[in-house]
Amino acid sequence: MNVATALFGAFMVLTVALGLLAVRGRVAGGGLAEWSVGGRSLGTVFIWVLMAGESYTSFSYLGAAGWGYNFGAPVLYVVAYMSCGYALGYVVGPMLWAYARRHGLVGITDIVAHRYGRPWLGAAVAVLATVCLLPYIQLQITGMGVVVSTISYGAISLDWAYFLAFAVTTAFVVISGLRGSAWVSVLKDILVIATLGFLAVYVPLHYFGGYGPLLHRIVAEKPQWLTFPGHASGGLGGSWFITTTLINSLTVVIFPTTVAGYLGARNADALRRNAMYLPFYNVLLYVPMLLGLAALFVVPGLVGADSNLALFKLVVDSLPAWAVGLTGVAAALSSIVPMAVFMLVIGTMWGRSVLGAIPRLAHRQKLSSQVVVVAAGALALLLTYTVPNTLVRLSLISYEGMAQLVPMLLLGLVWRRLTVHAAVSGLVAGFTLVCVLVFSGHDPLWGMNAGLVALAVNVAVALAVTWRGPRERDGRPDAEVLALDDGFPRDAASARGEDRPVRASS
Amino acid sequence: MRNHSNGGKADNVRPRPSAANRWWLLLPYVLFLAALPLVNRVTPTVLGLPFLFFWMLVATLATPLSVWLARRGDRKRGRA
Repeated sequence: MNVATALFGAFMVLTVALGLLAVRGRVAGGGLAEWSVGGRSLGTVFIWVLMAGESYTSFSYLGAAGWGYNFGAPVLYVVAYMSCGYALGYVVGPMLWAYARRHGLVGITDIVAHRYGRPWLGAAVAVLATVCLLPYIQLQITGMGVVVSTISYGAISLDWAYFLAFAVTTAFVVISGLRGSAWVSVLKDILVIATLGFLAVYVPLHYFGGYGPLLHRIVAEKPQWLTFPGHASGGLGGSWFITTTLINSLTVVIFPTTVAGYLGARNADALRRNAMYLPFYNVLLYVPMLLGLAALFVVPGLVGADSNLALFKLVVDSLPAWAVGLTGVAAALSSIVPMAVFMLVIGTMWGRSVLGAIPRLAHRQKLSSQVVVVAAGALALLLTYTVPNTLVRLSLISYEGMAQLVPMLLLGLVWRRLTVHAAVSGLVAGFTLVCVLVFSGHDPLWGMNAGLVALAVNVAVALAVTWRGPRERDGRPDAEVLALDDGFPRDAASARGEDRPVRASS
Repeated sequence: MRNHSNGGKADNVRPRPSAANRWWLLLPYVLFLAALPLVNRVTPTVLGLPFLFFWMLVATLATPLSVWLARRGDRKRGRA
């Protein structure tokens, strides 16, 4: 066993231990909310660490460098939508947090079921969201696979690396849920910041004699990569960038994993403070982009999936084994943390909204969630081994499909008149259109993100059905149905963090 | 259902602050998206960075600032 592999193994053991330690001293049997949203007890620091941890995935190491290498400028959409989304989260996060807390909800399926007073709708949204999320689990499994087999210099085979990704993640998330993911995120964020910070300095110095010469060479020799539509990107121009950033920034704030982070917060102000600090993390995304560009000169001619390894080719080529191992651990954890939250969210949605709707299982929601976590992870692993391309194809509609939930969720929470018929009609129309456009090869459509086109149709249908369609008979008061309060501190005491439930008892 | 009396502080009855300061949250959209036609260029380079990438870096660093400005307004109102 080489140094890098040994180091990797040691850190994987540490990861599981850390994940399990997270729930030490917590009362056993804390129920679903304790497991799914960490008992709504995480402060600003943990929320920051967790949300940075789950958004900075293996894509950041592999895809961002690959896109930088292949296309150049179009990769900037990642930074743009995450920044805009974090700013938007300043409003949406506290709103969802306060709503979920007031009504004891643990995820978006729950929120939808409560808003429209229809448990079946929660179950349906859970199924839809699962279809969109499963591909992400596979992306993390395969992402970790290639990283681990690369940094172990082949000592760990792809198939074993896939299994490790599943095993390590499942080992802690089943027991310790969101809290465990937050603890592992601490280790992850430290390693990511340290290794990327180091690479950002080291690679330009090692290969080019510093930033000046590297940037000079890029500007002189690769200008095509430096503006939209980038190099040979196949239509990823300015309007694609704008529409993609718009829709993704709307989607990221309701993405089930983001919402899990929101709901885990101790109070709404932790989320507001977090919205301020989180965007700083995006600066780190420039590192893999830059290294992808640098790799054009060092390892030219990478094509297809190999270009995703642009960053790691540089790392393996230029660093001693222990440093390669550490970078690999950081990248592996960037698969593990998001994957843990993806699995947790799927488990929660099913345990609460699908299986929880069955009377016999209604009082065992945490247990059924935990069983679904293992099942979902195992399914993604199995599909990775047997029919990898199925989930890859499905992943094309993941984000744009999830975007179609925005009107039902966000518009529904602020606009009482939106009926359940309207929200469902819009969702069905939007989701169908996404599938048709993406699978028939029409994304981007007229230079625009197909998901945004579908979202426009979605909203139009929802409005039309609201105005023309059947009226809703729901006798509950607005305060019960809408998200009117966003947990804003109303006096100095709550501003200091002693936030009370809004259902004031005085 | 909801209690609006809040211990008799009449000026705090409305929980939702008026939202003018929250327009700051659109600043990232303006910098990243609306400005794109003007900044989609390689030159002039700034500190060696091609202009588009320099601009995106500025926009990235301006995002926390925009949230800070929004929050500052909210806090003033929340404690008024």
